Amino acid sequence: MNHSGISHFYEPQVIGILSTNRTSLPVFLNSNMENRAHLVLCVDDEVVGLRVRKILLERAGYQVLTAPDGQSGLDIFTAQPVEAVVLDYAMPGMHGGEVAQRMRQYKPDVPILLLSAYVGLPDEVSSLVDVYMTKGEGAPALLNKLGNLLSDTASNQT
Amino acid sequence: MVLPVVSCLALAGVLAWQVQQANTTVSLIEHSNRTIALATRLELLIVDEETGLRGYQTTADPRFLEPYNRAQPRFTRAIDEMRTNAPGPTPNLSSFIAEHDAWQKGFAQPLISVIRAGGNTKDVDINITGKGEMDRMRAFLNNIIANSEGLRAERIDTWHRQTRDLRIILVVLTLGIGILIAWFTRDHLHVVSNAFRRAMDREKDRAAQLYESEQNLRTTLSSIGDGVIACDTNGCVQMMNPVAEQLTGWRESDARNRPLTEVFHIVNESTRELVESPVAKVQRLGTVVGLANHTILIRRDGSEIAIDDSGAPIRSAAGALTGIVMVFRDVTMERRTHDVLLANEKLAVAGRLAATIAHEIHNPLDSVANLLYLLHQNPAPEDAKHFLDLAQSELARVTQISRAMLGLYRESRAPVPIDLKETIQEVLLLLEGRVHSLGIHVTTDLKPDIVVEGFPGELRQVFTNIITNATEAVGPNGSISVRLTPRPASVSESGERLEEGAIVEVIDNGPGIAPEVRDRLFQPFLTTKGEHGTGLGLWISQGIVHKLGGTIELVPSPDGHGTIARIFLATKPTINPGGD
Repeated sequence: MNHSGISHFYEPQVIGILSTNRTSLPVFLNSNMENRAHLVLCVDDEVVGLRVRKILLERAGYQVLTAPDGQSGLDIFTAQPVEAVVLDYAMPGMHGGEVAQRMRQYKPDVPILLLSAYVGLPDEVSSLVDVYMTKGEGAPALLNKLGNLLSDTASNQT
Repeated sequence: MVLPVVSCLALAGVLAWQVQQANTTVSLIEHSNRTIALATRLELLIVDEETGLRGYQTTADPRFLEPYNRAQPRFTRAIDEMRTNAPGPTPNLSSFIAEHDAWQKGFAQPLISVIRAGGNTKDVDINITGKGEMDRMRAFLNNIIANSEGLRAERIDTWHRQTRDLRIILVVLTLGIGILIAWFTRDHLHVVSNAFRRAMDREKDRAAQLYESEQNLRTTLSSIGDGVIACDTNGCVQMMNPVAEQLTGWRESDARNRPLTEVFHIVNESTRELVESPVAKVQRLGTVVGLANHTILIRRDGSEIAIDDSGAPIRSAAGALTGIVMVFRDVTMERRTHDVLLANEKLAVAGRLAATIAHEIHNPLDSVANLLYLLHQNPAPEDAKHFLDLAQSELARVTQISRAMLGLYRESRAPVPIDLKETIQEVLLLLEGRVHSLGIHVTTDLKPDIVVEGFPGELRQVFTNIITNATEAVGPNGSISVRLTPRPASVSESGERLEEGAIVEVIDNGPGIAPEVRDRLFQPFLTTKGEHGTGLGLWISQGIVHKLGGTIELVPSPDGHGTIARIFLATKPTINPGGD
């Protein structure tokens, strides 16, 4: 395992993961390293995309819950102690903007990361969420932004 | 009316009476004449008697008595005639006859007897007596004659007076009758002259109306914004309005009686072939005809303008063709606007497509990027294989989408066979993301192996437009059904020949089309989507379908919910180059 090689290519925040076991916890080598795995909720109607994202986040050391649409995402959000949300914008029924709005009403402090395949989103939607990303920016960008969100929350709470 | 007739009748009566009076007078004059003649004859007879007697007295020869004897019966006849002379008064002849008898018996007969006896008859006294009697008789007769002549003169005067009166009455009567006739005919003349005057007035009115109507028509024609040319049945120009003059470059006075083809020289914009003269077309079809699209008018000076026109037959009241009128207008600006609009819509479509592409490609790309990242983390070999498979299938998706995109812009000049099922599926694939994101349920019933000729990119644009409209109509969680069915060649109920082809129907369960926009659906810039629509989609779709000789219609769904967009495409279309 050449962790340094990876760190050479990607953001230095995540140095490596324990890849031998899919359920193993990630190893955080930065200053905010915590023992506990954060619970992240992923909502997306793209089945493959959601599956891959779940694997990615799990290997990055998160606990991941998934929902294929906005309503079931809200259900999980209210029922589980979700610490961050990775939300798709274009979805059947409720789009990401609406889902984010309802989540804010229920738990305003949970950070939301909005992903969209569209390049431009309306301001009223992007201003609702903590971070806004376009799909295809790459896994390191996603992991970095999600990590920042969680550390911000942690530092705010302390 | 009665009075003049009665007067005339009275006058006629008087006239008749006068004529009768005149006749009476005439017979009285004749009576006088006869009386005079008879009296004269009697006088002669008594002279004869006296002369005979005197001769006998002188000679005693009985031959001298002959006049005396011959006078006797004549005398009696003359007396009788005198007595029966009518109608005037008969003079009293008794004294005269008595005198004559006395003379005869008392003087003549004794004298004759004496002479016969040879006695002497020269006694003066006796002769004087006889002469005295004879003189008295002559005086009596002369008296009668004188009286009768006096009467006659009076009667002639009367007659003169009567004839004068008669003339006067005649003149009066003639005048009266003349006046009567004139008066009587005056009414008739009035009737006739009134009728004549009315007829004249009517004619004058009609002429004025005709003039006015013609002036109206002329004014209308000259103020019309379109060019108007009227031709006779031989196709020679009879009339042009100022706009027609301006558009063709011919003055009406120059163009009159020239063949239309010379003045109105039109060719097809792209082929430069001569377009069939509207006159010939109208004569052939006998109905109003429109000109083919993309017609160019070559003006007198050789410059060209794009025109749109129509021809219509002019018919007499009996229905016979008496001429042809053509209306045309300059559509150069319109054509330019049309081109600009098309270009704008193409840009808008490109913009929408770009957004679609971004969405459709970013999703699989995101997965692939994530998978690549995972592969970099040195996963277990079975995981790596799994990741690679996933990445491959996601990339295949990208390829499929980009290929469908390319098809949209791969345009060929000549129509090519198009498998409609494939085409529709490709369009649905492209729209899948949008449809899916809106939660719209799409069902399809697409019969395989239906092939029509056309331009793939354009048909995709049409299907994209129609299906996008349906998704926007139904909104989130609506449902759309897309059907493709063949239509065999047949004859419709109205007797119209129906070509072989295919029918594509997109049925939505949206709110339907508001009646106020239904008539204008295919007009440019009509949009019900606020600022999200250009209002050109249906207009362009219609242009494309019409170019392929097909039809497009939007009808309310029979169950009362939603709309059916129905497109007919002919299997072997006659490509109509002016369709777009």
